Parts: sequence; structure tokens; C-alpha cells
Amino acid sequence: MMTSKAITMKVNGRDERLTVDPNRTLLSVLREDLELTGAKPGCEAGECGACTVLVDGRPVNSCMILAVEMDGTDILTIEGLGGEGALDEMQQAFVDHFALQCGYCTPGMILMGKALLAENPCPSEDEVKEFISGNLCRCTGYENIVRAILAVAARNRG
Amino acid sequence: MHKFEYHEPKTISEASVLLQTYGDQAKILAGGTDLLIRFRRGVIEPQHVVNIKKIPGLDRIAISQEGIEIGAAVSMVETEKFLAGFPQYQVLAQAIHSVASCQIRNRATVAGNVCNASPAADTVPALVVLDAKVNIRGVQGDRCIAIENFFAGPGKTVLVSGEIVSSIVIPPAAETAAGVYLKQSRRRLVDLAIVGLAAFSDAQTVKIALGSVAPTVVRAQAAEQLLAQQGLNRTTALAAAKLTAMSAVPISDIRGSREYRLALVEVLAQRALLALCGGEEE
Repeated sequence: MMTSKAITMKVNGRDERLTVDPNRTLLSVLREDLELTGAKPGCEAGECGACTVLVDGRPVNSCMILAVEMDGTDILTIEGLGGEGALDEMQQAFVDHFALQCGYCTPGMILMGKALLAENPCPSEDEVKEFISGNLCRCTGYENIVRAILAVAARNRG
Repeated sequence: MHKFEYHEPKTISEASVLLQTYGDQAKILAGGTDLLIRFRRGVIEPQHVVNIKKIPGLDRIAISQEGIEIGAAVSMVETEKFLAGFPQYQVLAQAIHSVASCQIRNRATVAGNVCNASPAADTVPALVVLDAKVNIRGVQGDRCIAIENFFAGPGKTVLVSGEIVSSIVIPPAAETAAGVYLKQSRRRLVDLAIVGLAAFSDAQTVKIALGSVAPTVVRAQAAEQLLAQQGLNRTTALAAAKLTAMSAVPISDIRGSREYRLALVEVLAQRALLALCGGEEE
């Protein structure tokens, strides 16, 4: 037997009221119930980072969290970045630096860039590399990803 | 993932009763970063999951005369940030930082790392050299035990049904004390330790603990004794590093052979001890 639970979470600025079974992950609720398919299932063991979203501003693997635990939290997915028809500066930097090939890791990488600069506006190259070490790019396009994040950081430096 | 009932107790007593009532069919959920992998792979399929993160107080980390108390629901990232103000505890901050990725450390807890009782747990060697204590609450009463006495084997602890680790306490250390955690893994980041080594030295003693080389984390007693008798300097560091390997009884597995691990123990011990006595490796 399994009792489903009503939860409320803010997703990309919108209050979402949902009833979820306890054995469902945050990732599956985002993708299947809210149709936010930016966060991707990858390894589903916390090693690839394709499912990264920000919960209360902190990057986490959404495949490793039960949706029922998320009651009362504030969640940002890649769909919540930028405005109507406009890209966020991190998204634009990824475009400008050709920091994506197949695109599978990109939502996670961009959110990691946002999270890093929120706590450390001017990271070194090594700090960027370490921060995204939990995100695998299967196209191996790491150099351009690091460049894109550093380009946004350089603007912070002014 | 299998079906289960989900519980969010509001007090530790309520959680203890749930755990005692359901016994083997209940599992504690803290960070969930190990638990959910085991669920998904069908390694364990408990009928009840008890989330302890909503219990007031368990999310607290604070310093008092007793030392630093890390609540069972405090994330590794929060713990690491708190420890940044205390150079004497850097061995634990380094061990935490070596765990998996930023995303995992935002969810995972130090208490969870301890309770999983993996021989490769990074935080455990650091907690052992710092003489950490484990606060346990249970239906039959509360107890506080030294972390070295907490483990019964790989994946096994001394916890009995209805017991919960409520916090980990690191006793006070002199500000001049220093420690270091060194880890060798197949890739530099986001991997389990082939060998993990924590060393800590204060005015009186040097302590060394090893991970991934025995069924539980072990102290390097022979090396510690030598250093207690002769003090830590560049010469004794090299001799003690050789003795450290005597405390390791590693197996060969996918991450490294027994022989490789034994060689690594000596190398890491040498680096750690030389770092603690301020000497460079020759």
C-alpha cells in the first residue's frame, strides 16, 4: 500500500499544487506532471548531473530526491531562466561560445554556472572545473563550457 | 522504484517509534543520496521510509563547550561552510569536500555518511582522528558512543531497532592543532576512495585513520605509537608512514588491488605526516 501526498512547491516562480506518490522522484514529477523536460534523466545514480535543478538556490540531482520531500521549496529549472523570448546571460554565453553539442548536459551545465556565480562571482578556471565536476558532457565539450561560464564571470569583474 | 509508505515524523520520539514498529521494513531518509540508488536498483525495498529532515533541531549545527555538534539533517555543504571558521577541523572539511559532487553534498549529510558504514566513507577517517562522538536516541533510551565503536562491519553499525543518530559531536581541539585528509581515487573528483587517509596532530598526539583498506575504518596504531614515543619530525614521519601500512588489510576490487592499496597507504601517510610537520618530501 502507498498513500499519495499533496505538496505545494514553487517552480520557476509559479505555485504548483500536486498530489504525488511517495516513490516518485522530483525529476519525474518535473518532466511528466509539469512537462518541464529540460532536466534530463542520465545515470540516475548522482554521477552525471543531467538532472540538475536548483532547490532554494542550491544545485541538486533531481533524480536523487523524492518529490514528496519538496513541499514548500522553491525550484528553478532551465525553463525558468531568461524572460519571454529572451535568453539569460548564461544561456547566451553558452550560445556565443558554442558550449553545447548534443545539448543533453546543457540545462544542468547552465544551472551549475548560475549557481557558481551566485556564490562566487569571479571564480578561477580551476574553481569552475571543480564546480561542474558532477556534470558529465558526453560530447566532451568541456573547454567551451568552462569558457562560457568564465565569460559571464569576466563581466561581473567589470 | 518500489512502493512504500512515506512518513514525516515531527519529533525524534515519533521517528523512533516508527522505526521500532516497522523494524527491518523501515529505512531512515536523510540526504537520500545512497538510499535512493539502492531503492532504484532493488537492493533494498523497505515498506516504510522515515524522513527525519522535518524534525526541528536536527538541521542545526552549533558550537558549544562540548565542541561542534552537527545535527543529523545538516547537509555536507552547510557543514563544510561552518567548519571554514575553524582551521583545527580542516581535516573534516577536506574529507567532506572530497565526497562526490556539489549537487550530492547539497543533499548528503555527515551523519548519513557515518550510518551507511561504508569502509570507503570519506568523513569517517576524519571523524575518527578528531575523536568524534555519535549521539544516539532510541525508544529504550539515549546513548553517546565514540565513533570508533560505532561500526560492526561493512554496512553494519551498532544501532538497534528504534535507534536514530541525532547528531555527531566533534570535541574541542586546540587552535594550533592541524589535520589533513588525503584521498586517492581513479578520477580526481566525483569518485570513491581507493584509499582515504586522515591525520591529525595536536601538542600531545598524532592520530592516523585509514579508509577503504579494511572492513571498517581503522586507526594506524603502530605508527601512532612510534610518533607518541619519538615525536613527529621529518625522520619519524617516514618511519611512521611505513608502519601505517601494517594497519591496512585491504582487498582487491574494481578500484584497486590489495598491493596497490598497501603502497598507496604508505605514500599518503608520508605526504600527510610531512605536511603536518611542515617538511617537504625529499
